[in-house]
Amino acid sequence: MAIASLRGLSYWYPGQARPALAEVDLEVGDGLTLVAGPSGGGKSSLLRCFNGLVPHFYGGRIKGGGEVAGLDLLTTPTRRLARAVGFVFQNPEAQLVSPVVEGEVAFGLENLAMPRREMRRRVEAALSAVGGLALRQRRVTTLSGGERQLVALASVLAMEPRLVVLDEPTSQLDPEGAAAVIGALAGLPSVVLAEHRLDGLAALATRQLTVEEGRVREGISTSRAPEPRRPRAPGGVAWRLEGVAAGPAGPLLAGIDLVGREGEVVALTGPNGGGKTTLLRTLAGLLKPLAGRVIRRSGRTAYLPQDPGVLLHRPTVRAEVELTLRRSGSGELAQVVLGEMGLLELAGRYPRDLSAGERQRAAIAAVVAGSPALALLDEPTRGMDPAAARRLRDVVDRLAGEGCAVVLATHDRELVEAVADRVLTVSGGEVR
Amino acid sequence: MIVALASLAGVALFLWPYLGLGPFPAAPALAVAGGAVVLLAAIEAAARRLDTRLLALLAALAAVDAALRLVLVTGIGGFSPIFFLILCAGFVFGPTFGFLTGATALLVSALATGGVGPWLPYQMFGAGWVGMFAGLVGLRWHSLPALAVAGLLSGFAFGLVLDLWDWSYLRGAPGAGFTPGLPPAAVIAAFGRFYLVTSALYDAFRAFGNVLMVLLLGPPVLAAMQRLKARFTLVVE
Repeated sequence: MAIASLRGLSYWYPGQARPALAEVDLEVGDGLTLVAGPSGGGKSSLLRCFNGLVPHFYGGRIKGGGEVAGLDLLTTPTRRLARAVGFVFQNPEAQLVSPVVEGEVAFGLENLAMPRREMRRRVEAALSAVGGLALRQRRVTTLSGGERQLVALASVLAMEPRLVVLDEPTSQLDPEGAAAVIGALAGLPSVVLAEHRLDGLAALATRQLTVEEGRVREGISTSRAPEPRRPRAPGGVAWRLEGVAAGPAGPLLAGIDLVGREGEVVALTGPNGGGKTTLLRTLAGLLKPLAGRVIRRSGRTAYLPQDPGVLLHRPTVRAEVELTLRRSGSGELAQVVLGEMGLLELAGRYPRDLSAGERQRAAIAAVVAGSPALALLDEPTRGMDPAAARRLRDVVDRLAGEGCAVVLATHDRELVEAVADRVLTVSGGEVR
Repeated sequence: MIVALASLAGVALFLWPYLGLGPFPAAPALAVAGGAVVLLAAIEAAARRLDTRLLALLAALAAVDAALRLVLVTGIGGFSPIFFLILCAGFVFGPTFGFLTGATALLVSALATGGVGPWLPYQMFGAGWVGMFAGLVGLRWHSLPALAVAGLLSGFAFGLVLDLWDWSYLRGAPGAGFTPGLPPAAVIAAFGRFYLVTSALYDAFRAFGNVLMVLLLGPPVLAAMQRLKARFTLVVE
């Protein structure tokens, strides 16, 4: 018995001539349906159909129709669909509304006017299902990106939806966090999940789909060719941390002594909430160290935040890149930078209309343009398909070749293996 | 159109003293203005033309306008930044939404700045009409210069219309005050003298301020609103 079905569904975002989804006929049954495909190919659009965000939130043009849990997608208001379908978004920042974790998980239930006792039981069950009971009293602002993702999932599970839809839920989680999410999904009746990093998921999937250019087909092709590493010769000292203690609210890191060189690529790994982002922000000068000294060589610092949306504010992707180039006084051509990240076709688009993977690429192009002296990238491969990840590796290689000191925080093991000269583990307040 | 009916209540309010009916009491006037806005919003919501997303936008615009008025409580002459968003909202989302934006913006900003007084209901209608006018202009001529002209005209018209209210209290100023019972031509001539002497220059600041704001800040704000409007529109084939 299908929980969701789409019939001859085509969908165009406002003002777009090319359909985001083209004549999709699909029945989703019980178990885990895994959705893969290139960035911008239509994965998120397909997922958004299941809770009515497409078309009711995004507008545009639609043909065909569908049903979820017996509700017609075109005539049922999204608030009704939301009871049957739980949705975990690509960036949990957009999903969290309450100041404290417990309140966040209870938020949906409060809106259904659920009795307090039942609410308490469900909040507890949902948090423990994602292995997040310890987060219960934490303030949401102090959570790491990965922890936020777990809380977003818990708040969806608390609603006990018929269908759970997740858009790249593990893209910024450490291996333990990803395992916790995947473990929590195992007990659910129906799940649709889109993801680029498929390791560990493919084995659990009852069905695999690929969405490309708006069309859905069965099966996922997984081909991965390891690339040869080019050796690098790091130069002089580019940045240095001396006895640094840092944290957004009280010291998360203490007694950190580190040195990075020109043309060196340093990868920061470690569990969610371990302090990777804190270290990057301190290095970028965005967070004042609580103790110690931060020294950077002169020149521009390129900083890619974990949520690229906060960075993009110009009317087009090209304008984003041009702004950076103008500010850095570089003679580099916007066209070249755009081409490097595969953005030429998207150059005239409004950055916030792009898919998450495309937006990530746009943000990277916007920060690394104009030969920075120091490039600090927080989860740069988040939301990226393999082709985009390959482009990123080339960009990092070029930056390092030009003498830029690169520091990246990531859970992406492939990226670390492909580009890092040195791997540091940030965990429990220390760096090893 | 329902907005025309709501406006009729405003027209009646403004003309009341000139129909020989004496001054309209302040508290019922506010009730008329508030009632017209609430009723209009309720009818639009029931007809599904004003959905939750537009309502959220309306609230946001009113709040931003209230904040703008807090920043610049007394403008330069009649200039005020609050008309800019009202003009843009009407221009993009149509006369009814423009009217609602103008009226609620004035109401909310009056609450925020402590500007609640007998003038408030008249200001609500006046600003509502500014938004409505921008909406009507937008239906016919959808270009930036057209909106600038709408800003210019409505800048003067807003002052003129509101003068109708306080002028009715100006008694015993020979030649420029309101004397009940005179023939209409004499009343209009007296009002014209009053307007030229007291308000024309003051209103010019508002009118040309509107033009300046529309031309300088209009393009990005209108583009943002157009993007929202595109999202609010769904075509089912």
